[in-house]
Amino acid sequence: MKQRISIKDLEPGFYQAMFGLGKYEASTGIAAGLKELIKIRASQINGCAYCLQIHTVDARKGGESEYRIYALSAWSESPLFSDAEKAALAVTDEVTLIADKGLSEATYQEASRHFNDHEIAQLIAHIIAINAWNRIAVSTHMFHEAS
Amino acid sequence: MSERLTPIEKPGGLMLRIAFWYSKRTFGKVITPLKKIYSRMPIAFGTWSGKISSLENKLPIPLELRILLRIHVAQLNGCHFCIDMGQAHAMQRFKDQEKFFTVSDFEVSPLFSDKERVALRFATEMTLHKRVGDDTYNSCRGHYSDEQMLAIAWMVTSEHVYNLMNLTFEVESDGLCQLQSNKSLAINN
Repeated sequence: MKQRISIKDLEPGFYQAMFGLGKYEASTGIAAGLKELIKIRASQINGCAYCLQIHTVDARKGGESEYRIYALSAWSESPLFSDAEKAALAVTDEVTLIADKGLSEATYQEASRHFNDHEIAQLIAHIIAINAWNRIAVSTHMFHEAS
Repeated sequence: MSERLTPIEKPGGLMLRIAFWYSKRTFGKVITPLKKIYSRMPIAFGTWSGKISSLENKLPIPLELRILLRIHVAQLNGCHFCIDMGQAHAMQRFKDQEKFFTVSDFEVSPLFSDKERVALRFATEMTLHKRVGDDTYNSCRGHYSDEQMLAIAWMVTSEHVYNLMNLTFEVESDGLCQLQSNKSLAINN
């Protein structure tokens, strides 16, 4: 697959804004490990190989266990994730596939049991950010080196 | 992006030379926070860290739990340097190391005792919410004395100091675990 246009070079202002989003993401109170789980999960759904490469590496650097990274594509069946993590992953799935059924009441209510309003807002922000990166990378055929 | 704080490669004073030598001997390299942060006020930071380590050696909880708490808090805060440092420390001190590399599994992994789980939950709440609810406090209190509760809270608090300093100045992982496993390979061969 050949890389198409480089949005980074063509629209540097847009990239600046995306990096701003990155700075915001670093500032939220969501646990670093959970942020990575959200990024990997959304990237799986969106089929973004580039983002999967980056975030599985980052998750490992952040001390995430291999078992949980492998189990993430079947998180709802897996005993390796806490109820709070599962609630966040359910939000990730539904917000990523927003055209299907929106964010369902059951998922929203379950998330509210584990996260306060601020944290839910932050979760949604993280999900939106990774979805944006997924769409940039997939639509322009960004690829990573096969190392 | 440019590097925050230029590392000091050649130590000036005696205190710093000793610190660099000690770091090399212990970890196989001069760790980045020493080059970037502590080298800028070596005597003040040196005195401080001496006091902190003598305090931590007196804490009435096992070394294993102390390191588990460090790694867990560093993971929640996303400090890659500190996670690596905690795991390298564990590699030096413990034969059985799987636990230290699977702390994020602690809720469900059979490697962890209930006693460790309540302490790690306590650490989670402190780290993510900056306060601890009654349920978590009381279930932890069921397993630990008042002095031990203090010790757990202290470990979580002091880990934040390192996490925040390294995150602020973008100190990345030093790959100390890798150096540690190279070292044990060299010894075994």
